Amino acid sequence: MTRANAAHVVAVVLLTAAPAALACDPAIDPLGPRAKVYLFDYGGAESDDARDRHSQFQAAMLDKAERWGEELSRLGVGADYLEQLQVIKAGKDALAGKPALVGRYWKDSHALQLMSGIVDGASGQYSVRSRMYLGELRGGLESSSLFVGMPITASQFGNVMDSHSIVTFYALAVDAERRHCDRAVAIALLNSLNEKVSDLKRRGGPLDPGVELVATAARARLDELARRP
Amino acid sequence: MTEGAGATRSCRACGEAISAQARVCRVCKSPQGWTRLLFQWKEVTVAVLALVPLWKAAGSLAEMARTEPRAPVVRASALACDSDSFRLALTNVGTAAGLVADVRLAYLSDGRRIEPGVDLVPEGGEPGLVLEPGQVVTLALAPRISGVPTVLQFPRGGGECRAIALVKVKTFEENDSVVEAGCPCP
Repeated sequence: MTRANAAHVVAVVLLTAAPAALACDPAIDPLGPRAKVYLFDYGGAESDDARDRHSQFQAAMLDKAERWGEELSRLGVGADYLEQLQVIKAGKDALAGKPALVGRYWKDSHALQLMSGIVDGASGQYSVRSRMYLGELRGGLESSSLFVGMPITASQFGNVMDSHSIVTFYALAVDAERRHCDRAVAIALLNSLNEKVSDLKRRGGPLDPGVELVATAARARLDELARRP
Repeated sequence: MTEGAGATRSCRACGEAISAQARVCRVCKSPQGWTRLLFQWKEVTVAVLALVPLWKAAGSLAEMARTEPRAPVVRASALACDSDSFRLALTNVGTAAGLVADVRLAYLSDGRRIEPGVDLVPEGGEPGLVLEPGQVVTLALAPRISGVPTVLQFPRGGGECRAIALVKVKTFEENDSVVEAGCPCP
């Protein structure tokens, strides 16, 4: 049995034994879970074509957020708040070039993550490079900022979305642990993340370096949670 | 004392015989009409006339001592609280203009006060508003963090929750006060 499979078995056992609603400790954070993803306008979308691509990307992110809710509710961990996960179009990126403000904004807005980035069409093929800021939810990552870049072609759109989903699920898992939720919640989220990583590998070969970092951190965390008595 | 053109009478002051029509005594120069009373009681008259402005001045000083300093008294009421807007009614029932300097957000959740570092800024307007005595205004406020738009996250403790606007009122004498208005979390 591989390590990933072992963690999966532990997760299934925990989830089967889990009560209907897995409470978190409300005293940790009276504002509750961090469930808002702020999506700022990406830079570089100056030409009409680039603006169209940017709009497509934003629309796909908003659509994806709705499906995250459904997907997470299917995890069956009783963490109803996961259905409230939402992407908020935050308009012009007023935080660009102000690192101190990024941290403050993340903290005070009670965001799960802040997304900004650029649309690049210099080589004739459009791609997005997203900066996903996780603040104190970086968990085992070295930095609070992750960079995920991918071409935004029709064939790659699913992969782009899944790459962003992986980072988001990681942040949700760290938030669940931060709020002392039952470990089944974090395990379910990290397992779901692992499945997305496997799908990405199956479909498109090597992972984006940013996604690889998250996948490694998630595997390490999952092993640790599975080993815990 | 005799009747007619050459009639005489005694001076009211010195008693010497003087003409019956004389207004002033030819001997002692005392007036013989009612004005002589003024001269007779001139010290008393001067004293009474001098007391009038003194009395007035004392009254004014007493009035100044009794009057409260002029100050704004701002009252606020929250009309609606939402995740991206906060409507507030403000009035000034005081005696001087007040400056609404800034509005901050707080939550009261299960008896615990939380201040998330969010400003409430007039939508499409400059912060800062002068509220004259008797004036009533309503304000549509949008949440901002360092000027960047945000969306409010209300506490989810399950118990009683209120979203509160903390309105800082300044006077031109730099006396700050904070007025609170809140409504139940949506």
